[in-house]
Order: sequence, then structure tokens, then C-alpha cells
Amino acid sequence: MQLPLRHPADWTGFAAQLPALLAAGEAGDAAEVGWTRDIGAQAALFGDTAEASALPWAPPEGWEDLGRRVAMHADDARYARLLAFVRRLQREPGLWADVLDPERRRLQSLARQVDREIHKMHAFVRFREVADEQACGGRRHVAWFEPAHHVLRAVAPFFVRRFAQHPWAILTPRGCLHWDGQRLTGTGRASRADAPPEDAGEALWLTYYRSIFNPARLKLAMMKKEMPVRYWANLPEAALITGLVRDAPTREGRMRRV
Amino acid sequence: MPSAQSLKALAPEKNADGIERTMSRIHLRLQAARDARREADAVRALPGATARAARPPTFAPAGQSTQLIVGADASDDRAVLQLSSRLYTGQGLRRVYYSAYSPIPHASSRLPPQAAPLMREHRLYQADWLMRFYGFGADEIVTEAGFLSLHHDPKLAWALAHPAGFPVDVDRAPREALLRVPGLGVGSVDKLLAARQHRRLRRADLIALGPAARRALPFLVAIDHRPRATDVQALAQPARQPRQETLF
Repeated sequence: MQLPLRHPADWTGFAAQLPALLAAGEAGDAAEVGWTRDIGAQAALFGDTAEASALPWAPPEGWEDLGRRVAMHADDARYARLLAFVRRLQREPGLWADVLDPERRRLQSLARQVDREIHKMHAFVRFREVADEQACGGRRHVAWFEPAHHVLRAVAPFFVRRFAQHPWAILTPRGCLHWDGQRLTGTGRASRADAPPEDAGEALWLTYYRSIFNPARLKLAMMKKEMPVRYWANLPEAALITGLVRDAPTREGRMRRV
Repeated sequence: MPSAQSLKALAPEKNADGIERTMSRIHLRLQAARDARREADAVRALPGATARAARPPTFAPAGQSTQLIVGADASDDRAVLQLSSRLYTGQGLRRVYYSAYSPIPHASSRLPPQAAPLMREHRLYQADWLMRFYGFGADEIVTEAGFLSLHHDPKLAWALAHPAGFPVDVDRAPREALLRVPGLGVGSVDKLLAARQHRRLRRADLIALGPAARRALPFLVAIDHRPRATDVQALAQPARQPRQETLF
């Protein structure tokens, strides 16, 4: 059977199916219950009815943008939520303007979590150099990262622009990206065992990180907000934080007394 | 440094007048560059002609900014904010940054041995935002003798000092009045304004705005919400100083 969604964040695929889903009526939504992380199971939602929907569907301005971001969320019910909200938008004129509607806020919140994950992934991917005869220059930069949402496609343009000349790969449990300097390709899931080992540049980076830490401006809450603890496992510099924070008061005191 | 005298005393090679003269010169050039760009954009190509006039070269697209060290001299918060306000309105600065003074080894004996509290820096940033986005004037933000309260944020302190202006009606109050309610940010106010065009707002809508908006409840009236006078009095008690938890 042809799957209606090509990947977990396939908003275009979902938007293309939307008229048919709306036409099927709410009875068809019963299949939602069975939604899982597996794309195959989501196919259950897509019935093949040809009956025309009684209510017209004209997406309001901004719907496309919101939906595209929500579709990247890891929440298994994301498409069901979007579909239910479209049904309400059809029935309730003025609903889109009511930005305080609870379900609207819920969707906005999912979209914001996705935006944040994209932002953090831009910042927290740490490449390590790996020898590779096939790559141009004989080496490749490989990173292991665990994104909380399906943001791999959304972050790809940033890394292509940023490291256009270097062959690189980003491995994640949700799929991988490979850039050979010319072409971007995607492959299936990777596991932590595929993560590259520490390279020669890492000591330099750790020295730099240690040196820019200012013990007189220790703000733990802010630090944890900017670099949430769940990213620490894949950040080599995170191992330094404990020591830097522990020694900060002593170092600061020394600065004042001398 | 927030004042010309302390700049002279502690950084004698810098000159406050000279700095402001340079800022004005850059401000004028920024304005000229903006006007040139507007003119170039206004040129519309006729059919068959080249697409459009060449764009003038960009000049400092990020604008100007500056940084003030607070706590190294005796200047109070009122003086700091008046200087920022002058820089924002007079010199068109994009940002003024505040940095709490912290001592370094072998510092001059004229510098204080104590670091300025980071909270003071935080309060100055909050006041800076109130000036730039919330319609507050530099002179009205500082309600205590010269310094911002370290216990209450500047907006709450202002609201407690002006009880006559509250509570405000979420369904009718103008944007300017809602912006002065502690706990409501620009984003929350815009959401309330957008939603109230379609329906009356309820207490649940205010709570739904998020945890910060809960602090706004004592200052707001809605069809199913009326604050008690004691709610505001409870806020006036100096809040328990939050202690930074340790991570390890």
C-alpha cells in the first residue's frame, strides 16, 4: 500500500490528503485512536472516500506556517490535533482570530517547541573529524545528535550553508544527513554506537570553553535555560560545567582579595 | 560610566563629550543612509527600463549600541536610566547594555572592592525594556530614592506606587493601560487585544496566558473576575529573596 505520508514531518503530504480527510467526515476520525509513531499506522487515518465535504475549507493566513511546524513535533497526536482544529475552523468563523482558544494555544505551543529544537540543534551539534578516503580531502566531520522532534529536514539548509565546503554527516536516532560537498542525502536511523570518537580538536575546544567562563557572572538558572541539561550528554564541554561551577566562588573570591 | 565625572576619574583617556559627539555623527550618517535607501526604493522602473536604481551602499545596518558599567561609581539607577533615555531618543541607539561592575586582580584602589549585585543589572534591563516597549518614561520608573527596588521588578514597583490606576478592565482598557499591568508582556497584551475583538475575556483566558500572567490577576477586572484589595497588599510584602539553587 502507498503510504500517504513519506516521513514523520510530511506536512505537504498531510495537506494534500486534507480535503479527502475532511470529506470523510468525523466518523473517519475514529481511526485516530490507533495513531502511533509509526508512519505506517498513520495511514489508517486516510480513508479513500470521494464524498464532497459540505463545509468549504479555505486555510486562513498563517495556517500553513503553523501546520508545517506542528507536523515536525514528536507528539503522536499532532496530525489528529491539526485535523480536529481544521474541522473547528470550518464550523466556527472567527476562531482563527481567537488567539486565546485553548486548542489554538496548544498548537502554538507545539510549534514553539519545534522552533526551539531547531534553534538548539543549530547550536548544539558537535562535529568530530573522522578519516574517510572516499570523502574529498580524506576526512569527514561527523556528529551525533538526539533531536527531540522531527527537525532534521528543517535544520539541513543551515548546515549546508554553514559548512558547504566540508563533507559532513549528522547522525540521529530519527535519521541521518550526509553532505559530500555537492549533494545532501538522507539515510535511516543511526544509533549511539555510530557516534564518532573524540578527535584532536576537542582538547582545543575544551580549553577555549574553560577560558571564556567568567566565574564572576555565574547564573545557573540562565545557563540551564540556554543549555538545557538534556543536551549535555552529547556536548563534550558539558563535562567541564560541574568543575567550573564548583570552583567559581573560590576563583571569584581570589579575584577580589588580591 | 554613567556620568562624565566618573568617566574622567576612572577612565581619564575617555571623553564623555567626545563619545556623544561621535554618536551624533554616526546617528546623522545612519539617518542619511536610511533616507538614501528610501529614495532608491521609491524609484519605480518604467516598462522596458532597467529594473531599478542601484541600492546605495549599506552603512552600519545593525545601528549603534553602547555599554554602561554600573556599580563602579556612585551614580544611581535614575541617572543611569536618564542617560539611556537620552541616548535612545537623542542618538537613536539600538541598544544600551548594562554590566554590573565586578572587581579584577590588581584593580585601582579607587574602584570599589565589592561587586555590584547582578540583580541590579537585571533590574536595569527590565527598566530599559519598560522604556523601549511599554511606554514608560525614564523619570517615572525609579520609584524609590534613586534606585530600583531589588525586591520587586520595576513594573510591579510602579503599580504598587500608583494604586489609583488599578485594577484595569481587560475588555475595555486601552493598550497603553494594559502594558502597565505587572505580569502582562507585549505578547500577552497583543493576544488579549486580538481575542477581545471577538468575545469577552474571562479569568480562564488570563490564566491561560501563562504563569507570568497570574501575577497580573490582582490588577485586572474581567466579567467573572474581580480582585480583592488584599491581593495587591500581599504582593507589596517584600518577596522572599529567591536563593539560587545549587546544581551539584
